[in-house]
Amino acid sequence: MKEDHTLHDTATEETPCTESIGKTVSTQQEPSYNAPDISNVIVHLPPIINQPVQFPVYPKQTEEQGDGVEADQSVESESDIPLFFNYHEFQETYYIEAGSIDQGAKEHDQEHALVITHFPNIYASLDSTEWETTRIVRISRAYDKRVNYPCFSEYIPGSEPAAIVNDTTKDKFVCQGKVPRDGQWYGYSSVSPLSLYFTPTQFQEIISKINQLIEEEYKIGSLTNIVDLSLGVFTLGLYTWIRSRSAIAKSSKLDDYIIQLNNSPDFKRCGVMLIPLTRSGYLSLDFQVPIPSVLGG
Amino acid sequence: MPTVWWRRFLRWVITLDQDVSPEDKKTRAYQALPHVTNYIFFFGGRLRTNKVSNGTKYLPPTVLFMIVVPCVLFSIFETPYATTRHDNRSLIALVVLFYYFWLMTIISFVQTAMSDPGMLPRNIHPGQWQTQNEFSSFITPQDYYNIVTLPAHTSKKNHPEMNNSIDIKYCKTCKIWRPPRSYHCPTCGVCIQTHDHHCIWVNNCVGQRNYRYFITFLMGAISTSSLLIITGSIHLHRVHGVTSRAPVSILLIIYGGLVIWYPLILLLYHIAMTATQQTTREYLKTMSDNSVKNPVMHPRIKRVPTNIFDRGNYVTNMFSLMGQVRGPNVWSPRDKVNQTGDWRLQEW
Repeated sequence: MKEDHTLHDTATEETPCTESIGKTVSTQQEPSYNAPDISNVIVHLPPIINQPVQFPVYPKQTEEQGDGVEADQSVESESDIPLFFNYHEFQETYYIEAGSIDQGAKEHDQEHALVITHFPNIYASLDSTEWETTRIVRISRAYDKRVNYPCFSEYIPGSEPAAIVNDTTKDKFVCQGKVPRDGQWYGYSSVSPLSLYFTPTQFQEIISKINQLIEEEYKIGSLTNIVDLSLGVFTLGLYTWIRSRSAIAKSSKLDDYIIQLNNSPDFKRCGVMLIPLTRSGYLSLDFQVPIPSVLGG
Repeated sequence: MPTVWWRRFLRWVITLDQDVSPEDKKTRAYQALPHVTNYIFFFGGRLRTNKVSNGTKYLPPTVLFMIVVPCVLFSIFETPYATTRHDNRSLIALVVLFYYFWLMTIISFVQTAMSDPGMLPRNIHPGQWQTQNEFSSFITPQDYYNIVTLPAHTSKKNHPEMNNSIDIKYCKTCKIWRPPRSYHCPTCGVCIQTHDHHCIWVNNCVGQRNYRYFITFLMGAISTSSLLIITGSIHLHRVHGVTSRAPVSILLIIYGGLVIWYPLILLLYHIAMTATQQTTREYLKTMSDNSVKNPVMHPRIKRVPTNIFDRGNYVTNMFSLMGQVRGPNVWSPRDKVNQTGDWRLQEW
């Protein structure tokens, strides 16, 4: 249950949360995207985390099923504003510990629950190699930035204000246990396998640029939308029909950017791929990553 | 055995949930979508409707009939009167306007009824893949049954009652975390972006991608009805009120006077709802929460103070909903898919 999403490492430092939020905002205001050029996107091979990241350790605020009553009032923040977390992740207590594979799976307490941070690759068919060798890390929508159109979290998983943290592994994904149900390795914190391929800054730069391109697509007051709306109505749909078949409608800066990221040597070397947003329905920003495992696992 | 060409052609014209032949495994999504949704498709997935089994399936053809019939009568009795007689040339502008708005009505009706309302793909956020006991399936974790409250951005500044939070729900049927204002339509069997309502008159959902067509349809219907009344009245005036010389004009005036009310009231409701930044679904939910038994007879549509989508201005609110960006078609029936391998086409 979410209310049992207890933190077993309680090195509470509230300051980094506000720092990281401020940082996000300032990054968004950097010079805008000009062309689908990824020359300034640097992706290092693992291990690449050069700067230690201070993870904020707020507990998650959740509600019970069905009604709108808060489950645990004690975890409420002072301002009554819920804290952001990656709502895709959940916990699993029945697993095989990494250090004692021979002993098999057993039930663990909530404090030692694994956090499911990567998911089956539903973009690959069941009989494909990708299904067997890759996983998906989902970046959730950031409703604190935009509610009217898609906008994705610029926090690398594990650094969200209400992420589950682990003092031992800190900001790096470490396989701590294997869930027999799906045969996958997970860690004790919200840190996902993406931490092996991106620094928080690099991740933020990529997502920020994607958010910016989405905003351009969804801006209501944009000339494209106003012309499309007015001419679409007055030409009885003829303009919309012609435009939908034109090259302008078929080209998208966002798609171009994602394609170029995926074709970049760094992405290819890491085996990381960004799933096109039209494929995921803009519901989440999905990274395809190599399946995490430990030797002998 | 390969499918014969005429069967393939028929399936292209109307695609129901019939079996897909082995050679069609790698084809377009419209051939498999009827298996996992309640849609049926026409002309290779270019148009769609719902396979409803109750009495409401007769409503869209009825609406179409109601649009076509006055145009036929108008073309037979009013157009010749306006164009042939020299002293009636001033009516030509009205006749042209009538045909323009009639075309607007019928085209926007087809667009509302048969285009994509903003269907979201399925199975994008399944939980875990269980492979135990020689049985494989997706399982949904208990956490996904919770309503998740997250911080939310609001454009209304310094509003003390705003809690700046938003509730997010997981659709257990579609296996996706639904974006705000998206809902699962049980009639269509899919989640729809910015779902306004499921309209039985067009037998389709009205959502983010066809809302502008729906509003255009209402405006077109009102304009066409008005022109029926005006043109018929002028005709009647020109024959000095001798009804026997223009019986169809009287019929068209009565018809226009009757059919104008429903789209007019509906449009007024949508103006009021969008100005207060509410979708029909949200408005009905608010009415239901306030124990209002008949929302149609409710005297006034009010703003909801806790509505985080409210932009603080009636005009901005209205434009932001009526003129909302349609967005890309994220699950097009025309997409090329592998029918056996695409998880969006599976039911779990």
